[in-house]
Amino acid sequence: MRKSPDEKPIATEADIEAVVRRESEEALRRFRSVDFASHLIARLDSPRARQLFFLFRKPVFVPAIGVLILAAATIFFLLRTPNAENGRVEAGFRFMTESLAKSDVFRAGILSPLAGRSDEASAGRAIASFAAILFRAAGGSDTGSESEQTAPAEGGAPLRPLFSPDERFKILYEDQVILRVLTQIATHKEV
Amino acid sequence: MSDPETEARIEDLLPFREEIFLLCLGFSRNAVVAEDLCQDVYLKACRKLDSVRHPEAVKFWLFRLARNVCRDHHRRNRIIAFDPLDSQVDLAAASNDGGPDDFEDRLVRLKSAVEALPRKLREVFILREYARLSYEDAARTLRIKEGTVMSRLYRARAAIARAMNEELHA
Repeated sequence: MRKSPDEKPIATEADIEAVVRRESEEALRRFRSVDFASHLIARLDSPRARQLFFLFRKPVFVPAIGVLILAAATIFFLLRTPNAENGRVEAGFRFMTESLAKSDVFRAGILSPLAGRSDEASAGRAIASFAAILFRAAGGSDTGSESEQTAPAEGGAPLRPLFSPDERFKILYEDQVILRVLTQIATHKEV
Repeated sequence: MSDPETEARIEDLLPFREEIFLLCLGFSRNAVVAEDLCQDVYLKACRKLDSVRHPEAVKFWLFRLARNVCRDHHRRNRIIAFDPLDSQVDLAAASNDGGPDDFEDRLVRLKSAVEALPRKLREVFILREYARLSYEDAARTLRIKEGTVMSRLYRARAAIARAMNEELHA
């Protein structure tokens, strides 16, 4: 702030912009940490709406457990293979976990109950945690791909990935869940 | 509208989540209320998708809807809106101990200055400063000319600066 002749500060346009920006940034940080999808689901006051959303989970639970165990065992042993190159293993691993994240059977039947939560956004984080545990078990780093971490910037400092794997999963996952909830609402007007 | 078509149209709305939240923040001046309003906007949007006449301008439709949701909320809660005043006074008192440049102090003064703006100026200010829309996008959202956006924004900023200074020197 500028000072007036009597030494009292004067608000300028730049001050206004700075205050708005700081307020927005702080609020956005909070907003990003909120599970928008699960809050949206919670806002649906009709039992039918919830039913529509959660219905697909139940019939697949038991067979999906088997799929999970098989998938986990396969991934684990693949990653432990001594001849595998780190980059290829990581790429394959990411592809596999992202495919699993997109799979209805996997996330609806297994991850939500395992996460002990009723919302899918928590399941998204469970996927990320699960992925991180497996990856650490295989001796890798779970903080981003090798190229993202080590490619030097012009000034010589290493580039940092924009999002951590956990955040990437959350972003990927949240959008899918929100999209589905909203589509259900839009196509069932009585909801 | 078929399911995939609906899904595609909703998908077009999702990238504006943060801007809609910020717009709600500007109107409500409270982050928690803004989160609720943002959810309301999306719930309403997907129920009213059929009323979108120009799908290519769905972004502006969504922002207009958000403005209307915030306006309705403001109208309904006019009395409750006095509530934060206590905390504002507390914040101001607390910040006076820490010097007049304190952020909380400036924030309280900014909020009351924005609240005191005439509706037309306030809307432009919030769309531009909070939702970070370009002049062109703000103009399309409010269905006014870009020049009008600029002049209203200029007047809004000047009025806010004046109000903040008056309050400070009072």
